Amino acid sequence: METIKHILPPSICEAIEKRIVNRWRLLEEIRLRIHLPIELSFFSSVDWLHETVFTEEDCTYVLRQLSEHSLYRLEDELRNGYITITGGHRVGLAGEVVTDHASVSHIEHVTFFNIRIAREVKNVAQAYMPFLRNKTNYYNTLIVGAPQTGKTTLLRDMARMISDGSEHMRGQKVAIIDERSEIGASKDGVPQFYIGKRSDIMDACPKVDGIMMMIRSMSPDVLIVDEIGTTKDVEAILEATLAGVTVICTVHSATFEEVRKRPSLQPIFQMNTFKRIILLTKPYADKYHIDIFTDEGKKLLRDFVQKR
Amino acid sequence: MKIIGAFCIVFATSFLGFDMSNTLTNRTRQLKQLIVSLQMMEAEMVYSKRTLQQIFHVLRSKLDYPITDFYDNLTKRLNGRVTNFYSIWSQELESLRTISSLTANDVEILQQFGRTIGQHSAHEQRKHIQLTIYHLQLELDQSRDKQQRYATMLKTIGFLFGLLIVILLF
Repeated sequence: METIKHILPPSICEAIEKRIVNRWRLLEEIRLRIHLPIELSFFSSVDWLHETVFTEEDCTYVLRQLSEHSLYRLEDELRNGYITITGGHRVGLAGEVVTDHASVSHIEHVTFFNIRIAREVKNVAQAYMPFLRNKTNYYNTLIVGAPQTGKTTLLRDMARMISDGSEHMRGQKVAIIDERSEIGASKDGVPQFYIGKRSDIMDACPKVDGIMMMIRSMSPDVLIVDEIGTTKDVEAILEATLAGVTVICTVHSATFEEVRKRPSLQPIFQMNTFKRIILLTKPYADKYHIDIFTDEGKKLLRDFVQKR
Repeated sequence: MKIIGAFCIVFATSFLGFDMSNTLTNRTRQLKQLIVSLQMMEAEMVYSKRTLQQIFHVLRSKLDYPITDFYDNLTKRLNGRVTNFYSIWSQELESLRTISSLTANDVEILQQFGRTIGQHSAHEQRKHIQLTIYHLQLELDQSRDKQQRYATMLKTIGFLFGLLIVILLF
């Protein structure tokens, strides 16, 4: 939490601390919008700091703290619209965009911030691992879920379990392509979350290039990728699965039917690449559903996690 | 007794002369170092994309006193929670001024530069650095010119002036 407090202006930080008291564990997002009160989004409720308004000076302050007073470093981040800070927390940015040759060059006036708090939940994947492998190998697995349903948390824990191994299965070599620095939350190449003893992580690397680099140079058994979306990502993943590597990745989608209809993912479903599909949903504010399907759509497991 | 006094006078005025001439020489040297440090800063910012603190840390080890002290202090002060970088830069410049031979004008150029550090994209930051280097270069040329003209002269004048006083006294 210290790193998050660090980037907020002292007055706002104080107001937030006063309001939260001991609910830090339940906090999911802090949302800052210019000229508007601050929004605190908890696991199952939303709280507003009506008396604290986010001003223009606060905007500059937050941006400076995010860049460690070195705005020249943030070119890529301002183009992609997010910054990952120490501790793996991700700060999403919005504002006025400057375009160059019809593609986004960077965000010029950053006026909206979304501070998403990253959490490491160990052993969350343990109960599901037996469904994701046969005696010797793991299946290609796709994790499907809407934003904020815990895809990355689950993925991180799976990486850890696969690479550390268990009494039923020895640890495998895991290569993680962490384009958004969310899985390992690396700082200067050193992951801050524990990702397993046989894991290698390629931080901030574009997926398409990273997948091929890892396969060529790090000889992985399992490749872990976050948030695939474009046709190029899909192509690279198909290449990887045909190169004899198991791929585990996440994708944004709310239901099983929807994900099967996504145009960019068509090749994957036509080739039946993924033998297991994990669907994460959040039907109630404090409850997650976890469904595991086979490639034919047969449901293997329904489980739920209640947040305390 | 008189002779000892005479020696003292000559020694004192010579020292004064040497000191003034040293100030000129040192200013040239320090300006040169500042320019070099800005060039290194530019490379670190544009190509290495390091944070200011990391950059100052690198600069610190590559320069001589008193410029190295300036960057050293900046590195240390960036360790804690920083709310306003410019005020730190400005304060450190003031203390640099007291220990260096830089003139008020030189320091003012760096003050202006301080307002731009870390506030712009790499492309614009580079322009600001180059502008500052250009201004410092002008000061350096002027300083070199002065040094060539006056440095040796001041040393001689110091000694001769002491001698003059001694002769007048006798």
